[in-house]
Amino acid sequence: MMTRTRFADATLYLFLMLPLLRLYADMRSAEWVLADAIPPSGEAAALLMFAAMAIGPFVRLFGLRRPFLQWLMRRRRNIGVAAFCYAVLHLGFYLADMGSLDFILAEIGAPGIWTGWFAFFLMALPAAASNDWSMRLLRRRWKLVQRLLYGVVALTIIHWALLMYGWTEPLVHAAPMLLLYGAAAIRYMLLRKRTTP
Amino acid sequence: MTRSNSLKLAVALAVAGLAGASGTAFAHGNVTCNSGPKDQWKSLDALKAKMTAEGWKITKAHPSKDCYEVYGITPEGDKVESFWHPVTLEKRLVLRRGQVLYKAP
Ligand code: HEM
Repeated sequence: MMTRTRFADATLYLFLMLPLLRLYADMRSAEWVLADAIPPSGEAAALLMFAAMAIGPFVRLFGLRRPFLQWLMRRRRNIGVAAFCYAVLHLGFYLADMGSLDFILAEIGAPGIWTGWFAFFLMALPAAASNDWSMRLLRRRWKLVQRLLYGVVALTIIHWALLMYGWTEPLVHAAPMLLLYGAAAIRYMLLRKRTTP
Repeated sequence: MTRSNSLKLAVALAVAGLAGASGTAFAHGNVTCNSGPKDQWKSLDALKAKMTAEGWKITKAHPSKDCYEVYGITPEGDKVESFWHPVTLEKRLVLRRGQVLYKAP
């Protein structure tokens, strides 16, 4: 059992590093410019965040009996923190590409950009609270802090759609997570109806 | 913050974003140059030379559908994404993060 968990952990950590490999591979192209690293790092941040958030409803739907789901639940934090690390990288590439405060301020009012900043700062709070010490300190309020992520999802989808010129891509990538939330909500309502006469 | 409040926050943010977005969305998707067959196109280097002479600083340039797309800094000092006609080398569209700064008549 122990070794199986170790194997799963190792696989997960390698998986979480895949976007770095892609960034590195891109960089080796002769035509590469700094701005080219902004979309893939943003995509990694968004997809890992969607994945981490999908685990909650997934477990609510299928229960926690299976060891795999217990493991996923324990590793949810790692996936979420990795998502935030990619968001930091994304912002780093953006700042480096912009290169001056004047350029950054000139476009900060564009809806595609302020949604990114807003998403980033909103995401920083649950990321900062993703450790045992903060969980103990915040107790019940910890959950409320994590709920800021619903806002981050909305902002990220808008940010993505506006800057990459289309709703299809962000919505298709968010769809599995959104559907799981929908299914978990429907199940919850059905169960409640059955137990309250 | 309760559960319903956080949902309200998500919805409010989505609506605010959409409201802000509705005026500006996807100008890029519509840009066309009707530039005809590629063997009639002037070279990307010719465009770069013309732009540099006009005071542009170019970061990256490549063909994009039937236009040339150029990332760079305008003579006025804005950091933008721009689209140019590959035959006439005329400026078609200048965007900053989805917002239109210039659109050819
Ligand atoms: C900190 C503020 C942020 C800024 C200034 C910012 C900036 C940008 C820019 C400029 C682009 C488009 C690049 C291009 O046109 O080539 C972009 C794309 C993107 N960003 Fe952000 N971003 C921010 C935060 C975030 C956050 C927090 C997330 C998600 C968690 C995110 C996810 C994305 C995604 C998914 C894309 C599109 C990637 C693709 O289509 O492949 N961004 N961002």
